[in-house]
Amino acid sequence: MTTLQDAAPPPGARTTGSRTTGSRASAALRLAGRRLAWALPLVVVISLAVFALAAVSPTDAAASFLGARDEFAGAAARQGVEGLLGDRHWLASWWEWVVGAPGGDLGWSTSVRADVGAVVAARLPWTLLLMVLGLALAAVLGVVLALVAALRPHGVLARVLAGGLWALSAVPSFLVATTLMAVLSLGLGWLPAGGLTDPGAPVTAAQVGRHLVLPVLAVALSQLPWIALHLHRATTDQLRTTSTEAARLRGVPERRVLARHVLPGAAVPTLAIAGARLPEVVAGSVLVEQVFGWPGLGQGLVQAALAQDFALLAAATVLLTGVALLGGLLADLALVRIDPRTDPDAL
Amino acid sequence: MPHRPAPFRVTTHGGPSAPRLARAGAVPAAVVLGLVLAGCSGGSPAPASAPASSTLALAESAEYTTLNPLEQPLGITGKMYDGLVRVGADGVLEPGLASAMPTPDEDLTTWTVTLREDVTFSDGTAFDAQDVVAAYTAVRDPAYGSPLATDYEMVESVTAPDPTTVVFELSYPYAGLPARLTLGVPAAEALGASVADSALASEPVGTGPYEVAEWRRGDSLTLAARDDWWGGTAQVTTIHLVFVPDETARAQRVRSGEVDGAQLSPLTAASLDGADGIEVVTNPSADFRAISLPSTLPFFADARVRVALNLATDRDAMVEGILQGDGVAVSTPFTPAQGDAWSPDAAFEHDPDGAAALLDAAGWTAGPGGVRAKDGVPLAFDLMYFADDTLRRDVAQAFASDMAQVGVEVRLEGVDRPQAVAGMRDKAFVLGGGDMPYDPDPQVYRVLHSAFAPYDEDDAYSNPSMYADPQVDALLDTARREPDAAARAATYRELQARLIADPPMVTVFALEHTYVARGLDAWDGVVPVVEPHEHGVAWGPWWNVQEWTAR
Repeated sequence: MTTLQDAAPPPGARTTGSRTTGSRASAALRLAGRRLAWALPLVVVISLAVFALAAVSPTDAAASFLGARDEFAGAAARQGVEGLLGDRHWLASWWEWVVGAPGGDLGWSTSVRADVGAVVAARLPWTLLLMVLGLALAAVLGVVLALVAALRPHGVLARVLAGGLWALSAVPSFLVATTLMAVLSLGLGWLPAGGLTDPGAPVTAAQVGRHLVLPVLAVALSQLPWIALHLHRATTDQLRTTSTEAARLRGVPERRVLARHVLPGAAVPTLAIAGARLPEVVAGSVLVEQVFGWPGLGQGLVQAALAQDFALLAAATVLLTGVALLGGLLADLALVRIDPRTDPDAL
Repeated sequence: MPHRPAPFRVTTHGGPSAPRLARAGAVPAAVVLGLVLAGCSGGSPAPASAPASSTLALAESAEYTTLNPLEQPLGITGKMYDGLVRVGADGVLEPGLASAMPTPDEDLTTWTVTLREDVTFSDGTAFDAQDVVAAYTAVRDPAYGSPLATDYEMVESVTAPDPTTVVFELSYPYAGLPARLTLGVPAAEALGASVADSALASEPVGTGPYEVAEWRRGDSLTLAARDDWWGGTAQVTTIHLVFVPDETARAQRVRSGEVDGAQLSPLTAASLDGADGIEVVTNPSADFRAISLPSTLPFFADARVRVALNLATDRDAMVEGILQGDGVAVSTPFTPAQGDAWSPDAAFEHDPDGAAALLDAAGWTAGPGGVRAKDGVPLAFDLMYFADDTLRRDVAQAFASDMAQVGVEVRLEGVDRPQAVAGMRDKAFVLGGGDMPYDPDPQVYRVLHSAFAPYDEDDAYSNPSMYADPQVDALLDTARREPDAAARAATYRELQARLIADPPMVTVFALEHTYVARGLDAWDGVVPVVEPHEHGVAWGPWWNVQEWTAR
């Protein structure tokens, strides 16, 4: 393929394989740079919005800070707590946060009474682990299911799969999570119902691995439908293209046809959508963390939002936004790599 | 309750090697590597050379926001801290860091406490009177922001004439001080400037039986017994507290043997009773629920209407239906936990016919739609409950249904905290109480005294009925100034009779807190206690775990 393109470069055509591998690579770099440059103002705007929204939200910061003692605090104590939390304008709080954040000072969390940097350092890695494994599993399952369905388009299996996936796509992720827990853990007792390890057990690969199964499955199952359905559609289209037919006629084995001709083509539209869906994956895993007591950033985010904990809320939101942006960029870079027709400069 | 005993899971343990929170960041990367390289074949290392030790694993319903005893009194901080006075079996106060119970002068305004001398903090430093002075100065300082500040407003000064003596000077005679001296005392240097930024929130420095070995944020807290606690080293040497918000998951983790106990609702707890050596344990509390009757509403000005609503309430049905029997019907904020000060006779019978007759006599007669009215004003009001609290919701619904029987319309409204505060002036509210059950004064004073009647948005939960009765005020003030225990109890019993004649609200029941536990048979020293409103697995059968001895 490469030789064909190199031999006949259509002059001036932006959307076909006119570029050498080198110039594609630098275009991909430009894409990455452009995205990262965009990320900065986006983060500023998002953090601003977080502070503004938290300030107008009806939750009572002092009541949240007092927790269960709220009902018994009395006037003097409540005024003391209100004095601690201060009634500064949200813009001032935001400015302090923005000025401190680049230097690594993410502020002090009032909801967990700890340095935000330490909270994030302890929690973000667990969120990333859960999301990456969940998405990877969803992708693998999606490919398998899509291929099975596409190869036997009128088979019973294909219909059941399609119907089941559509149904599954309508189920919110927390419901997927609670159902998994009810069946595999509470019902059958095969897997632990939550937590990072058994009580008191050291954080080892075996321990965490066993406790990861259900949360990862929950993330994977809630992401599987769109991956599988998009792939299925694209695979079905690819199976009917002339190039696929030509490959078959040349006697290329079916497995090779699938691997070399069908899947790469089918992956293109799916990857394009993946970038757009990532924020939803992040939001979904927040709920999964809540259900399974997974010590990720999502749980901290929910806590912070309820307590008007500006610093932690902003840090968590910006970081999860960053994860979504980065994921989107990776999806696009993969697209550039797989599909020679993709123009990095147009992404 | 037949069950077979199951011993506590006894593990060999290399002793607390105190890895605190911070290092968690590097762990996931190592775990990923481990998963990739070793698959899932890795086993947990079990150092076998250390002496055997007893480990207890308990499931807690929520992660602790703070371990600062000036912010979170009793409960979990009681494992890491001691107070001058401590709560003993059956909720009886006994000396803790004090060598004997505090002694008042004749008019109850000067209290002297002599301290134990053999006490050290978990950081190795010695405990003395200056630490007590610092703690009680901070807890009263508005700038420190302790939620307990209001509870110490009677304290005028705290001084230490010598290293083993502390003197509390009060601004008025106050008999209930010992209950307030249960405050955990941290090392003075560790207090910090305020509860918001004090390191004590996550790194306790106390004199108590346990210290924090590891806090995995969002996951679990591990406590290790101190070998230099003044009370002797606890035989239960390690306590793992795992945070499991979902009740079904908590129940399952007890059933599977993963944890040795948890706090559950009465219904869920009952479903586990007897399974695999699990037993249900209940502790009494003074944790009452009541429906406020705001005096701003025209019909509540008449005491007959308030009495009628009390008569129409079927408390026993609520205890059975809502609490599965794990509670006690009460008609005033006093509960059996107040001991001699409780008057069992001061109670309303369930008498809907009597209620109807009383309402008729007061002029509230049946109007259109079955709702009583007088001069065109219907006997109808709003009842707020915390929307996230299913127990209060159930109480509100049961109450509304009882009221409908006698022609009183109660409109239910699930609210959040700001809405509750804003609505308190002219809406009824399902109130919770009993945060300090070890003396009658903190149990009832702020709920009943007219000093708290004017609506204040900073203090909306105190006296939410805005109730004012000179006789009740006088009895409350007499009782808190009475040095003689028997005379004091008699005054409180007289007060309860008055509360039946002129009820400030509809108090319905006091809860018993329910837990499931396994392996209790292996231990001596498991005894009941009276629990405060806020509770969890730091209470239950495990409240005095540091004193258990193996059978």
